Formats: sequence, structure tokens, C-alpha cells
Amino acid sequence: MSGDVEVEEAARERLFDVVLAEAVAAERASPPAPRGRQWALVAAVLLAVLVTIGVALLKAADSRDEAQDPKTFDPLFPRIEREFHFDRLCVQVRSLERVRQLPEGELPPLAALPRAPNEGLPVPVDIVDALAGRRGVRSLCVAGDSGMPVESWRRIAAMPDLEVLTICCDIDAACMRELRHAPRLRALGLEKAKFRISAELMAALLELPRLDSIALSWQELPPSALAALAGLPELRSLYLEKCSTDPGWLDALAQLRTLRWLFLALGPWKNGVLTAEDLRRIGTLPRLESLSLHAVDIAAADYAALPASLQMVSLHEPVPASVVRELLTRPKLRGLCLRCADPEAESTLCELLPTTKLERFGCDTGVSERLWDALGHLPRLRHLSFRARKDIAVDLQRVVGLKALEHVGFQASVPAAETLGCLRDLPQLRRVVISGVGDGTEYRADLVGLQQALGPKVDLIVH
Amino acid sequence: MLPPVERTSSPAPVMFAVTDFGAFAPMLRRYLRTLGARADRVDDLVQETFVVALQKQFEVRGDMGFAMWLRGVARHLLLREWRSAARSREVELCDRVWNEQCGDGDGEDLVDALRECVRKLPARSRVMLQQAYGEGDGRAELARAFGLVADGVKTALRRLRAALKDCMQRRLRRTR
Repeated sequence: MSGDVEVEEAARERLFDVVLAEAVAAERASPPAPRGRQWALVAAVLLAVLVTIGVALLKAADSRDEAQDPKTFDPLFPRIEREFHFDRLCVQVRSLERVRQLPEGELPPLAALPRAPNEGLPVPVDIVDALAGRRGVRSLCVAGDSGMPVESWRRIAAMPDLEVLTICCDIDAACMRELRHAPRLRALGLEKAKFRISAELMAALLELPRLDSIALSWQELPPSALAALAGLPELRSLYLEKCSTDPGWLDALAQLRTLRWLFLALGPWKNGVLTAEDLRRIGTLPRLESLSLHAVDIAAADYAALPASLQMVSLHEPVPASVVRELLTRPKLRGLCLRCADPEAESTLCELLPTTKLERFGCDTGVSERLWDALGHLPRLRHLSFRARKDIAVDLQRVVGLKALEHVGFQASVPAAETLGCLRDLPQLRRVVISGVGDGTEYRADLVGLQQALGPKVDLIVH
Repeated sequence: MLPPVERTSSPAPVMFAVTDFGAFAPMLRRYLRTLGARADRVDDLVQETFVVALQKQFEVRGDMGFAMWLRGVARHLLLREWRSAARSREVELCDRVWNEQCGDGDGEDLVDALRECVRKLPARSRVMLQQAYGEGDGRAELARAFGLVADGVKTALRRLRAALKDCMQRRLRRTR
């Protein structure tokens, strides 16, 4: 009997431990209550010292982007959204001369590309090797129609600052295995179209245990290769764009139990359809907080099967009013990106938005005056993206009324610097993303002017 | 948060519209840890529980019934993983502890009560707790950070736990 008592006591302790850890985690975000005791001052001094040290370390790691501690994953500002080239304009490096011109210190994302933008050219190995010798390269993309010798991969792995690597060329398991020596590599993209990811390659990838973000675009991805990613203990973010796979991919996906952020673009894959059953299967991922669906058809009635535990939902197909209503009444929702199918859907959106506590909102269409008014009722709104109207100054004047914004993204032709400068009135702003400018020359002329208009604290991304 | 049950006044069993497994995940994590599941296995077991739930065409009577059913599935999965009938007695005892502490609930009131207690702690104690339980710092790191010897940290944490347990129980007695 005394054994029973011990077992029960141990169970009580375990329950207390898990509850205490949750309570502490929940409390961590809250500011401490003011206390009038003397030793509280000592604690405050101690904390200040710790914070100072922490800030210094963060500054050393990154002077502009806030570093995101993996322990404090933020589904509204996931790192993956800004680190792969799908979110940034890379500096294209097509010659050794260009390598020599790169400034000292931390560099923007670089792409080592063949000397001419034609298909069928090999990876410029000399350029890759020259870049690999540079400090300050955090993000690198290598592209070409062939592979690289293992020595080049070894040089890449020796890059001390490299965190994000996008591979748009062939790579075999032996070369992949070399990357395990990269000291800071945590995000990897495989983006050569129709490249078949074999089980052997995936096994080599698992030797890179620090990876927390994976982007796979247009790959041939058998379910077994997808399931193998479950062997990455830190995997939090997965970007899957129009890969081709076989039945059973959802079962494979569901094995990635550490996932918190998932982007799925189906397109022709699985005929671009997800059923309610599929969505429920995705909902079994125990830690999923953010789900983005592109080129995915979902029947209106099936949207209700989206996991209700999601904090961030991005839907890029038009949705009717019933779906807008269903989503906006979810108590856990903190961020939403959608496209209204018709005026009724937009009307529902405008009516319900002020009743929510959204911190992030995006729409793939223009923002009407009524919608701007509704957004004005979201005091916590930190992240906004939209398609700007032709006279972007009108939209930006509404944007500056949303004082909590930290991120502003819009699709537009690039505005004049003086027009963009009004965003300086946003005290928390740290990032502006202007997308959809294609490869026009207009923006190239005044990137410096735009950055100056925003000030040094704001990260400007144009792509 | 309550799961989205298709509510009806009929006494007949209702089909559960399972769209919100995530709402049950914290409860299952607490429960499995109480039963003795290893921390690194809890998420897997939670998901396996959801997968079983998805595969079964079950009928339940309300959300509490569903939570209880999920706990039953999780318990069986844990026992199957241990492959030990001898431990079923142990699991039974731990399940009894869960019922004694949480009743039909999900343990959320324990978290709320404890959170209030943590909030009332002096700043130094709160920081120590956060470093110990939030950041997972060991005794050596804590000793360095707080100017204590390792045994001092151990004693301080033991006292903190005892005080918090007491505070939590008092709060629960008031609210239940």
C-alpha cells in the first residue's frame, strides 16, 4: 500500500510540474506587478543587467531583424516568411567582379546565379566559392542547371554566418551530408523544379539537426521523403509549394508533430482540393498555430473543419460570407489573411472585424473605405498587408492611423520616397514589404531614397 | 474553450463535430504527464490519440464525455507503448489522482489558480521560477544568476513549490 501512496504522490508532483510550467509560461508575457519592497529593486537591477546582456547579444547577431528565439515562436511574425527568397529581393551575383564589389560586414540575401539568365547554364562554381569565403553572408541561394562538386558544398558548410540556404540546383546525398558542418544553418530550401527528393537525400538531410525551417518548391516529393522530416527535432516551419507527390502525403505530413507553421500550395497536386477530412487530418498536428493555403479549393461547408486552435489563417482563394463569419468568430484567431468572394462577404468582414482582437490582417484585394474604418477598430493590429490602389498615398494615409503597426506590406508599384515617408509616423514600424513590382526598373532607381524616407530602424523589402 | 459540439436538446447521443482537436491538447498533455508519460513522448501520444479519434466514428454525449473518452484512448496508447500489464495498476492510481485533482475538468482551473499565485510572488522568486521552469536553467546557472550555492537554489525552489501548492489549493477550494 505504501507503494500506492508513493505512486500517487509522484503523479501529483508530475501534474503540479506540468501545470506550473504552463502557469509560468503564461505569466512570462505579462509585466510583473509593482511591489514596493527594497529587494524588488535588486531583482530589477539584476533583470536590467540580464536584459542588457541579452540585447547586446541580439544586436551582435542581427542589427535589424529581431532575433526569434525558437522557444518563443510567434505565429504572427514567423521567421520563415522573411528569410527565404520568396519574401525578399536577393542581390543577384553573376560575376566575380560583383563579389568583389560587395561591401564589408553583414550582407543582404545573396543569390549566386549563372552568368546569363538563360536556362540550362551550370551553377557558377567560382562565384559560389568566392562567396563562401566571405563573412556576413546569412542567406545564400545557389542556382543552376547542374550540381556542384563536393568541395564547393564543403566551402558553403564552412561559412560561419550562414543561416539560410536555398538550393536551386542538383544535390546528392553525399553533398547534402557536407552541410551538417554548417555551424548556424537552420533554414534550408530545395527549389529546383522537378527535382526528385530521394529517401537517401532525406536521410542525409536529417544529419542537419538544427534545421527549423524547410521550404520545398516544385519538387517530386514521395510521401516517405516527407515523413522522413519527422526526424528533424527542431522543425517548426514547412513551406510546400506545388510539389508532386502520391496518395498518403497527408499521413506523412501528419507525422511532423513539431510543426507550428505550415504553408501549402497545391495547384495541380491533388487537383488542388482539400476536403473536410483532409483539414481534420492536418488538425491532428498538435502544435500547429499557423496555416496558409494557396491554390487550394475547399468547399464552403468544409472550412469549418479548419483546426480551431489555429492562431493564424491565410486563405488565398475567395471565400463567401459564411466562411468569413465562421473564421472571425473563432476565439483563438489572432491573424487572418483572406480574399472576399463578393460584396456580402466584405460586408460581413467589415461588420465583424471590430468585434475581434486580430493582431494581423491581410487581404489580397484593395481595401475599401469601410474596411479601413473597420481596421481602425483593431487596437492590437501589428501586421497589415493589402493590395494598394493606384493612388497609394490615399491608402498610406489610412495606414498611418493604425498606430500599433509593426509590419506594413502592400502590392503596388513603388511609391515615391516622399509618399512612403509618412509611415515614419508609425512608432512601432520595423518592416515594410512592397511586392509585385516584378523586375521593372522603376524601383531600382530609388531604393536608397525609399530606405532613407523610412529611416534606419525600418527594414525595407522590395520584390 | 469548449469544443464545437453540435448541441441538441434530445437525450440521444450526438455526433461530435471534431474540428478542434487542439482545444483538447493541453488537457491531454497534462493527463499523460500525470500518468507518467515521458515529456518527449507526450506530443506523439497526443497526436496518436487524435488520429484514433479521427478514425473512429464515435458517438459522445457532450464535451465532457468526449474529453473522458480521449483520456481513455490516451491511457490505452500509453500502456500499449509501455507494453507492460504490470504498470496498469500504476496507471490506474495516476488516473485516480487526475480525477481527484481535476474531476471532470481539463485542469485549466489549476493553471489559472497557479498563475494567480505566481503573479503574487516577489519579483526575485518569479524570475527564479521563470528561469527554472520557463528557460529550463539548471541549478548551476540559477546559482550563478542569483548569487546562491547550488543547494541554496534547491532549497529555494522547494520552498517556492510548497508555497505555490498551498496557494493553489486554497484558491481552488474557494472557486470550486
